Amino acid sequence: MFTEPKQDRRHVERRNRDKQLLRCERELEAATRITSALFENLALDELVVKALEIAIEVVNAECGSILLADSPSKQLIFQYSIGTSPIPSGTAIPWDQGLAGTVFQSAKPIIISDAQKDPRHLESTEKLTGYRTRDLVTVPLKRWEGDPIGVLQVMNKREGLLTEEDLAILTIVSAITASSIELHRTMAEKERIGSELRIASEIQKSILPRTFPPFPDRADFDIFATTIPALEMGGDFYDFFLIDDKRLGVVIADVSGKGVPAAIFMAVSRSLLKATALTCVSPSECLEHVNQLLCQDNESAMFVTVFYGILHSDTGELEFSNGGHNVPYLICGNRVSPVGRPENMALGFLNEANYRTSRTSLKGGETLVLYTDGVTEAMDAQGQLFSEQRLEHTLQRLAHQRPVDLLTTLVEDVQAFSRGTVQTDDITLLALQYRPAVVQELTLANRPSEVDRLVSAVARFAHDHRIAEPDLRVVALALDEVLTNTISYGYDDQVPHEIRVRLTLANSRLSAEVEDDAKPFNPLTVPSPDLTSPIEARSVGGLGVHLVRSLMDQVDYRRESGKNHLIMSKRLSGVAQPDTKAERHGDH
Amino acid sequence: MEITERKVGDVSILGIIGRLDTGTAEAFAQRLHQLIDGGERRLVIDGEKLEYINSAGLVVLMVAAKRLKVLDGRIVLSSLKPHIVEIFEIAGFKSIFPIYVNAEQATQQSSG
Repeated sequence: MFTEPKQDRRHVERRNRDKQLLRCERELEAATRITSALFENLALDELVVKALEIAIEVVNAECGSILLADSPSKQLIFQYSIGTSPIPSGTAIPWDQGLAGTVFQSAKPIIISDAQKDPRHLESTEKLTGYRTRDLVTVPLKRWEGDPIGVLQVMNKREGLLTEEDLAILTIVSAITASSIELHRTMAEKERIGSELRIASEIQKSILPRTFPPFPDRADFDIFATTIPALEMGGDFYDFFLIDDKRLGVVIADVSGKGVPAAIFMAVSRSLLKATALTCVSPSECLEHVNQLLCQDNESAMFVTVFYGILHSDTGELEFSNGGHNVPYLICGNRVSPVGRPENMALGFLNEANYRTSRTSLKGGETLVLYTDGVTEAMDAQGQLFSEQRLEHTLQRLAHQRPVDLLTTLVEDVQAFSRGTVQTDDITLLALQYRPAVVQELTLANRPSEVDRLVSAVARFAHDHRIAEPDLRVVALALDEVLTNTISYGYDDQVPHEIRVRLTLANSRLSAEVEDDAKPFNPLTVPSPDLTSPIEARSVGGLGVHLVRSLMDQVDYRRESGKNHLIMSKRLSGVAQPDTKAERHGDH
Repeated sequence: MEITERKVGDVSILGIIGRLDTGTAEAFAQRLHQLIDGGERRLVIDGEKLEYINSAGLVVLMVAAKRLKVLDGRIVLSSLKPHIVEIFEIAGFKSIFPIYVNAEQATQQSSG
């Protein structure tokens, strides 16, 4: 038996060690170059081409390709091909044929010294380019784990044949390339889902009424609502709609859960509620009906808490039914009180659930505030809740504001409270202020002393309805001028006459209509007095009518059935500050 | 309405308290013309406590001013509340009645 001399064995070992070192070095070089390419922020295509270039260079081959699997067509598609006679991008082969198909299916690499002798070799692709493959390495394109997403092929080493060492290097290149492709694909998918979510969130928001004021010609109520979802899609919603001329429906609701499932359930609930409400049923009938519809086919066991109220705009009566929702508040003057009590069951739970209608009534200036638990359960940095108590105090402080200002300030307060924390629940609010037209009629005799009585009555009216002092002064002066004029100059006989004055407060506008049977007199035809001449040239006439026309926003006159009708109106500049003494007195 | 009166040098200062309206304008007019009849030519109307004025009150002031103009006299106002000034402005009275911030200034400007 021949034994190798010791010297030679050591020599071989050293040579092997050197070879191994060299191979490690080449592997490292390839990995380093591809990794640094990864950090160049290249687009996916550029990155893959770069990886392929590096692979070919390091193993000193003529050309190479990356084929990616296309599941629907069960094909491997030449995506990238570089070097001598590259194969056109898009060329496809069945994913279970040829050397590439074999590697892809088995997830095991192949190294071949003469492709032409291998029966698995497909000649069809070569015919495409006229290129003749000699030796080749095909490695599955895959991460260290998992299934291949394609294959990487390198052909025709420039000196000698492709070796196991080359295969090892190409395996590293393949793994890094596969990871990059998969990472890009995941990110693209995430981005797509993200943008679809954003679109869905927009759609969801757009199904809630968002134009304020929603009914510009309705001055007898003032409504505002807002919702701030915690995630892109929320489960809260509000709604309002005119059932008919005299009935306004208001809804607030909170769907269990968050995100897409809650949003879909929300959209369904909202549509069912509105559609049912518009059939003019009572609040409890509406909730009962919607509950039954939601209970059918509710496999996901979702539910929704709902408060549904109907305001009768002529009387101020509020009918409502509460399906497990937070009890709303009513702001009356400086007092904030709950509307009803927690009762009934959320919708979607129990097909047979019963709902009850309760009643209360709103007086002029009173405001109904609906909210979801995202308001009271907003948390500060110390983990304290905003709480119902804080909500009540805030409503008390904002008692005299109009719905839009009330809710804007309230939301700011809640957000300031929970600053520095992540909003975990939707915040949804709706405020409805009842502002019926207020009418007061007075009948005066045509005596000068009656003007004082009128002025006192107007002052009382202004106080009762929170008309600010400057607005009161203007209207009182205008009425003084008109009545003084009529009483002083309107009648030639000595008979008592009646003068009727009607004050109307509606839509932040105070109107006064004066009806008398005095001589026809249209103040709008009185010429404006001279306001600029020196004193000696001025006349003393026409000042009263001039004051009326200047101070009021609108003055109209008509003569009808033997009577003068003068209608004057003034848009109110603001709401009077509440007289705290009077409020306290009123409470006793 | 009440009227207070005081005299500083040759200037008569009339303070009006309350409302100068159709019911009170006549009394105010009477007092003004009595003073002018009695030879007063420099008048200051102190409006510090004037709460209300309507066209009847404005007319009284204008008639008195016209009369004094002929007699080489003068009538000025002082200490008017902003909402009264607004009425004066609308009525075009600011160009014919000097308005001073207080009675002292009005008196100084009127005397001599």
